[in-house]
Amino acid sequence: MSNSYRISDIFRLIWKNLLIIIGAMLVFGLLFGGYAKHKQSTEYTAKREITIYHNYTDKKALENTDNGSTSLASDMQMMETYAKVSDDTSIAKQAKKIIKKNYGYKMSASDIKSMLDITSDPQTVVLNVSAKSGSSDKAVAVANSTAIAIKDRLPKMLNDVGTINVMSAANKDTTHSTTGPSAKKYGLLGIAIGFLAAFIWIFWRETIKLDNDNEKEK
Amino acid sequence: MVIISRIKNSMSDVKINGQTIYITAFIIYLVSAFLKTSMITPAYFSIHLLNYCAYLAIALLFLKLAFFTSYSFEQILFTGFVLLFFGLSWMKSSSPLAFYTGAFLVSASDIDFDEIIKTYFVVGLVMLVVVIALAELHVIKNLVYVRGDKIRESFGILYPTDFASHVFYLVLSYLYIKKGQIRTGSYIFIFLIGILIYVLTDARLDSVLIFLVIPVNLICSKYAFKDGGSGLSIADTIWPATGIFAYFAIFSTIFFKNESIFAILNRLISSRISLSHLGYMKYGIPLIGQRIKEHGWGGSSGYKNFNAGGGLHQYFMLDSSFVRLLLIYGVVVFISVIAVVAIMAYQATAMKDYVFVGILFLISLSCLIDQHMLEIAYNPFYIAAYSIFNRYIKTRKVGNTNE
Repeated sequence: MSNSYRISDIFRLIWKNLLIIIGAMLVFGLLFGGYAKHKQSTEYTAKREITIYHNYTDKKALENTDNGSTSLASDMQMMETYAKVSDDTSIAKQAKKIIKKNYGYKMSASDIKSMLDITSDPQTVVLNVSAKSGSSDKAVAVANSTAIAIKDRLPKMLNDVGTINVMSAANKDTTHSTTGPSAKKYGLLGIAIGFLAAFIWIFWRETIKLDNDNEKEK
Repeated sequence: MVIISRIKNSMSDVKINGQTIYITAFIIYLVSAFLKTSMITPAYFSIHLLNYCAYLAIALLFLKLAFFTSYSFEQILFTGFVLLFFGLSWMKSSSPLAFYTGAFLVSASDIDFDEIIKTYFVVGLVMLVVVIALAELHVIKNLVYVRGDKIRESFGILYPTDFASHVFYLVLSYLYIKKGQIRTGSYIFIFLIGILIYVLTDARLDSVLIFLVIPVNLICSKYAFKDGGSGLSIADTIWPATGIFAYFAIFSTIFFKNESIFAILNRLISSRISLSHLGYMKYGIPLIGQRIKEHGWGGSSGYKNFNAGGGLHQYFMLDSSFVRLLLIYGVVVFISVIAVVAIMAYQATAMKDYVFVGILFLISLSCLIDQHMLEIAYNPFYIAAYSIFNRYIKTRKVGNTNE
């Protein structure tokens, strides 16, 4: 880089070292893409929903309560708590028994917990029980059994939970599959990193060379 | 094989000296710090790997300080003071940014600052272009936020305003490299960049700052390095800006009240003053530093929180760099940084390097609202303190000899 510095200097530097840059892009692209291909696996997600609410047909329950909120609003506010409580080990242990009985799989409670993700949709009384696994059968078994375990255990763990309805069971057809990591994305990232690494190396080399030349002149 | 032998040959004549080590450390740190501000990190790289890169850069700086730097007694005191107190602040606050900036500053005593900014500009620009390309190719996420009827894009950076800040600091570094001597075409180009940033990211502050680059540079470059003319030009009067803005930011933070004049200003700048006041009331002002837990909208987790309407975490960010400096890094670091920048601006003014003073003025305006003062991935200009000081001493010596 000379003292009269222009944006075009960057392009000139790239052009001068195009061979190295393309080489690095190819090597990094292949390395990253190959790594992703090697690590690639398919993960299945099975989902089952649960609704938890109090009896709205009771008119009084719909009216404002003392603190100004309706029972529907109170139910909605409680969903986050239900989601957290449902993540308890005792529910996973219960699910373990159901899985063994209904599906014949032998799984530990900690394995079940690691597969689970229990969340609530904002402004609803719906609890989502989703299970991820490399096997669609196991994902279905865990999601369905945990939902039943929640229905069974939650009223024993919290007071006045209300009505719990377990929605349609998950099955193999309703599972969602994702395959990752994407070899294409990793390949593109590798190409970008190869370009960056080569460019930064060339730029560093050029800067250092200039410094040394300036020192010699002095 | 040809490529490998070319690399081998060109490596063999690399001379290991202070400048080589410093530039190497700077590039390693800049790349890792820049990657941390992009969406590449959470998706593909562990943040720990980037932290190790930063540690490697600091180790190289220590190597330079230990074996490739000669010191005067005052320099030993200054270096020791910065490393000790900025290091303590890192331990207390868990934020290493002040220490990194301090380490790069004290190690730059014999480094050509122009070279640092050139490196920042070239590496920063190329990295930003690569990040935008990766976001557009959907390799990394382009986080899109909605504010009212406006869509704000981040282009692969953690947050739209962070993207805008990258662009703003790159414009400043271009100005520095050109010593403010840019043509009309470049002014038009800067104006267009400002418009694009406003339209695509809705980052109001950075757009205004990019527009402000034009009048500030027109004024500052007019008087820069020119003798003659009695009395003060407007460029002579802006050097205390950092101190004044810091005072204003801290004053408004401490004495904020909902009914006061600050309330109007607070609404204009998206509740930043009231959030700073909240931080001050909750955490107070430490001497050395303290840990403050923040939750913003940036990055993957912040984006989730934004879409949940703040339901996952209460939004709490200290955006003003001056407020962060005081509340997170403590009184000692606050006074040291403001003093160093004020002295630097004063000395640059005395040498009629008004373009640099103008740049410091624009940075101080940005620091009033944005948090990037101590992030070298954005702001590398505070490292210039030694370079300015050395030039100032040289100029004075020449002046005395002439007399």
